[in-house]
Amino acid sequence: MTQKIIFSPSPHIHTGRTTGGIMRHVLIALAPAVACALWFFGLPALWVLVTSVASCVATEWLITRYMLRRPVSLSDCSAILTGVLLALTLPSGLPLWMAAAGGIVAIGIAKMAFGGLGCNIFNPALVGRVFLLISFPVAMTTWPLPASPFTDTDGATGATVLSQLKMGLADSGALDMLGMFTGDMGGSMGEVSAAALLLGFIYLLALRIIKWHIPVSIVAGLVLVDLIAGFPPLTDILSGGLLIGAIFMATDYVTSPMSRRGMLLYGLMIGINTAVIRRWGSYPEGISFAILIMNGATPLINRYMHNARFSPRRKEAAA
Amino acid sequence: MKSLKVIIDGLFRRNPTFVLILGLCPTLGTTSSAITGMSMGLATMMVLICSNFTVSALKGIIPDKVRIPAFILLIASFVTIVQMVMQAWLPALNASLGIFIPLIVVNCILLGRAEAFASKNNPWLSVCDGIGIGLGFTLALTLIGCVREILGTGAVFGQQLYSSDYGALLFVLAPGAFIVLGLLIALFNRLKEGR
Amino acid sequence: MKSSLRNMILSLTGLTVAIGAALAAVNEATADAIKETARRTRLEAMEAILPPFDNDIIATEVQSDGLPLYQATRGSEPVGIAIETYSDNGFSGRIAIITGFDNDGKLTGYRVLEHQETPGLGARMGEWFATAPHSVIGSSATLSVKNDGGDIDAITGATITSRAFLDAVNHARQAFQSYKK
Repeated sequence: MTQKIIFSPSPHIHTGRTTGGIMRHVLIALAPAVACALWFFGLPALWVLVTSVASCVATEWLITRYMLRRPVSLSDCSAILTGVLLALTLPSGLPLWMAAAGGIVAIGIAKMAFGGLGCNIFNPALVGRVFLLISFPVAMTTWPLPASPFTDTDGATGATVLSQLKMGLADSGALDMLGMFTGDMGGSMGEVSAAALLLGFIYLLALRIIKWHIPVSIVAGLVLVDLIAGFPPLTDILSGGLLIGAIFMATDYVTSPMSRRGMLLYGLMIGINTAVIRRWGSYPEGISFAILIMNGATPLINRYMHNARFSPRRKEAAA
Repeated sequence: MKSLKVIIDGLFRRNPTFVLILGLCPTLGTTSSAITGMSMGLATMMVLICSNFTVSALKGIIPDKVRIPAFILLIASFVTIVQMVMQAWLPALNASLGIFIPLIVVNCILLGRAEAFASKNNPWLSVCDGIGIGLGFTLALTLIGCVREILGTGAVFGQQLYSSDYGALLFVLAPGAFIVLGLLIALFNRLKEGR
Repeated sequence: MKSSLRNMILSLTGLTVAIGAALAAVNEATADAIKETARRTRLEAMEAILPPFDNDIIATEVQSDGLPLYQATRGSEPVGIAIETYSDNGFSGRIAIITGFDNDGKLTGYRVLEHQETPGLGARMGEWFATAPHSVIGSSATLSVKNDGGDIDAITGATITSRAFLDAVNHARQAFQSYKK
């Protein structure tokens, strides 16, 4: 007996993909959106971004090192990704201490309190954002308008397209669609440029990091409600955080369903919820709430819509 | 000696909020500030002491099969009395605790203590249990209220510690109640293990 | 104790009678105090929002446009009118306020009686509309927030509450006008 025989359960073939690798690809996919944010909102945006990432990384390090006394897992980049995503959902003029508080809540409460990466029920970046939105509604809805790039001016602020529509101020026919597509509108740092976000989407699809099901069904759900209720769908898709939410937040592996059917249902419900909150809710934007609600429903979806491969019924049949 | 132990038990080992996890509706609903949390705790303690005492004193004459309706009857009337007294002489407190006072009736702590303790022990020990559990409940509610008030508005018992501009509103609202309660239970468990 | 139909009926009846008697006694003892407290709260609110008056204002209650209206007089000279008004369009349910008007229909003050608005946002209406530059006190016209084309600054982050609040005030003004006619 010189040869060792190793028994191990499946899976036996490894693609060579690691958590850290995936996170890095998502970060690359976010690069155009980050670049747009810096281009349109200038230096303040950079500070918010740096603060948010630093706060997420520091919180994760402190908790794993001193509270859990586990080996530090920063190398998987997940804290950095959470920090970047959080920053992209914030207005660029946000006081930095608020961005830091958002990072602490995102990592400390939404992620580590549930057991760390892979155990969290809710998307940490969104929990951080919603925490800030509810806690500091005034600061979180003061949107600096895009200004000349890389100037540290105290630019003008204004309402987003969505809040203008909500208050009946803007006529949806008069909106500048091209501006909304490239990002020339007020809003959170990362949500303004649809073009940059779509670029990231194509990158992720090409590398098969995410499947198309969730983002597409989210848009479908939104358009469905729009058509029934008679609202212009294109404005709805391009405005607010719909695209960044659909592409980068709702597709988070941990908090979204595993099977394709489940993904479609999950996405559709997010789209419908978003549209309903936008039209009839009290907040102008609903995508973050919609995703969090469906995050909560994900275990249930997984329970009833699993891949056939993992189905208990199939196992019974095989046995 | 035994009575003291019963009181201490109610505060810590059998703390209704952090250990027994009972009576969460008023716990979450009334702790948006330290003072309302404490008032709710004290009001509940008043009712609990009275109901524990009467339940224990009457346990010999209440037939087993109707003991639950009898307990509820007793608890409900004590709650009504507390409410009327508050309406008459403490209107400000009554306004802030509002609908939570009648809800003391359905607080499972009261029925739970009547059933688990008062109906098996003598009136004196039952009063001690009421004091202990009541104090434990008050302690928990005050603590949650303090944390939420400090984080949410920058004040504690109305004393401004720092500008309310830095307060995170979330902690005053319902989600903050859940988060703070969860973190405090975790802390309580940690302290218990550490001992 | 072992249950039998007899002792179950007897004990529950006995308990109910005893408790009923106790509650009746407490009610007797507190009823006047409760009424007095409610009256005093209302009176204090009116004293705060109206010019000085000396009549028994609560006794002057009449209905105008479905709202309770109180006439304040000082030495038989009318000095102002208090109107209890409300709106059900608040961010979370009913907002009840009491408003005071002088003889010319100028708003002399208001007090929020009842609301469930968000702390830190809508709940600030108590101070917000009483402080410049968004004060409504002294106004004598129909009010609306800037978003709706009016000239009152809505509470930052609480447009819905502000709208409901101004609605309630406007309703009170209508009641005032139809009472004056």
